[in-house]
Amino acid sequence: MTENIRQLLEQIERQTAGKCLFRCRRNGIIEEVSSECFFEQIRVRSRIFLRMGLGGKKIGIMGRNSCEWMISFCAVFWSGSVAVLLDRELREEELSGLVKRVELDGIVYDRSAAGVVCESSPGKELQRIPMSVFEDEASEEFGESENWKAEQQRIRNRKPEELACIFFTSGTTGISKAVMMSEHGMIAGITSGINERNYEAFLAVLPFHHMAGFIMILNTMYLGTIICIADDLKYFFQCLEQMKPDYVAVVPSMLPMLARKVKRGGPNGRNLGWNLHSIHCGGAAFQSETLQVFLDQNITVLQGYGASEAGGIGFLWEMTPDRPDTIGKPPKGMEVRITDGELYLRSESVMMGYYGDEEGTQEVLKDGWYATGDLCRQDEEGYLYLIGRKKNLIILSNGENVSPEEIERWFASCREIKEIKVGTEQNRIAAWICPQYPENASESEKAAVLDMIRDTVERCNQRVPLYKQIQKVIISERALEKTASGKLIRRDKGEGGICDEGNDRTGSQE
Amino acid sequence: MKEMTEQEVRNKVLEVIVSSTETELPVTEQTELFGDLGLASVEVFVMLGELEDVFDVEIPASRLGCVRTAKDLCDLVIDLIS
Repeated sequence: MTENIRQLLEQIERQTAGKCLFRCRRNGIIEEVSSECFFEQIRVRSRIFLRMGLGGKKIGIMGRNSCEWMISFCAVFWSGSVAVLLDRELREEELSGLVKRVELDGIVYDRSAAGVVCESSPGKELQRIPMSVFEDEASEEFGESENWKAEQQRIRNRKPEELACIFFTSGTTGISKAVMMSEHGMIAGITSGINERNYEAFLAVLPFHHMAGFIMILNTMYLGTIICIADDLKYFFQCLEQMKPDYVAVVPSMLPMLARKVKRGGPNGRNLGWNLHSIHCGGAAFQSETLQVFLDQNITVLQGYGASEAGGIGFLWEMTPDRPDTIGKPPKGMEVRITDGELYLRSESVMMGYYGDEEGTQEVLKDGWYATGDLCRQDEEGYLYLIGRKKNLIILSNGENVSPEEIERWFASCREIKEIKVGTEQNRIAAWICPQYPENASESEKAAVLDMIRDTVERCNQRVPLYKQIQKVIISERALEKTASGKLIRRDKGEGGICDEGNDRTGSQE
Repeated sequence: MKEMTEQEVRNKVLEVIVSSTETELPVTEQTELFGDLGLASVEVFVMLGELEDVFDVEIPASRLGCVRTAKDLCDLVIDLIS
């Protein structure tokens, strides 16, 4: 029985011997990476980690989706260390905060993250390892000292219940939660067989630092399918043509543009040079209006539903026109229950808890059951349907979660803003702002305040990724609605729900 | 690709926007990509890839932060070509 990820990787190495593991697009050229090459580079990096004293420690990984990212990720497990996955779009102060919070010992990063990593000030000894350093390391003969053998034995004997991985997910309070996955939980998610269909090549575009991103890659490796990695999302269509994956994972916001191409692309997109047979769509509500377009071209659509905290065992359901809004039935290995309308999940892949947040853990985890925060109903035939969110989280159609409270905090020190409430309007992130005018302000003074507010919003928007930007500002001359205890009232309709991305920078007044 | 005048580049960018989005709306430089065309940010990212193929120039996604209108996209391409 496989007890830890190191053992699982060794098993995958044996299973994939002689095969191509990755197709990577670099500067327009497609390169293939063999299993031998992949695992040899894992060993090289692992040796470096162990030489640096990072064996058994927490090592962060920050960078673009790439083969190098995956090698570094697997090398962390090969070293018996804990992988901490970091969004490469973090700002310096955010990174410094996370480094301190999870007590990171080292960080591996690529060129895209170099600026932030080098500028961050975590306030503790942190070993910064650029991925470029691995390019200079040759596959050396490494003498097997007694210490080395003992170290390898320690790694192979890691227990299933030990911490293996930490990744971050947005919390309802806006402070990201550090999700802890055990060796056993990771293995359960990777080997769950949730995707047992026979694919030849899978195109990975979901960010690797998200649970769905890295679990799908490891699951694909375990099943012996080739992983195609796009060097940049902007080359998505080029990758479909050049690497010819038959299976791709996308988020709902990508469906309209994919459907437009597919409509005229012939069966499986063959007129476009594609070989697309299946689409996995997850991270947010499925946009069923595009389903028939794909079915007409012989492309199956699988909807994925899960929660990061519930790990790699999640729903995967083939969409059909008669039930376009179901998340399907629970997969093998998962138990579900609906209590007070809320969906609870239990499986071997559910998280250990949140790092350093026992209270937060106890709020969502009881006896192995994870409270998803999703409101759900089940029909007579056992199909499940999501009907809303219990709390305020905005779920974007690109799968990203945005906490309104997080965005509201950006403006905490803006004197021109008396109150602010973030939600969605017409499926776009919107901010209702009650301005703070000077006493007896003239019309021109009020106008100046409104200009400053709009400038502040624009400046804040420039510092964050596009999907988190406020797309509509609504000025409210009246105080914002509150409960008796003073909490902002966030209406379910149009707020805290699913949001289609888009940008509409018009301000309007009510 | 033969040398294009600035106006030809602008016209070509608008053509790519129309063909990429298959919009039936008239697209001018004043057209708001997100507001008028209702595009998701990922659609604009992927459009960068198509523009790169047309103009044989690399367009960093980091430059998208200031792009709101078709004119912003035209200006970006012209800036990178020159």
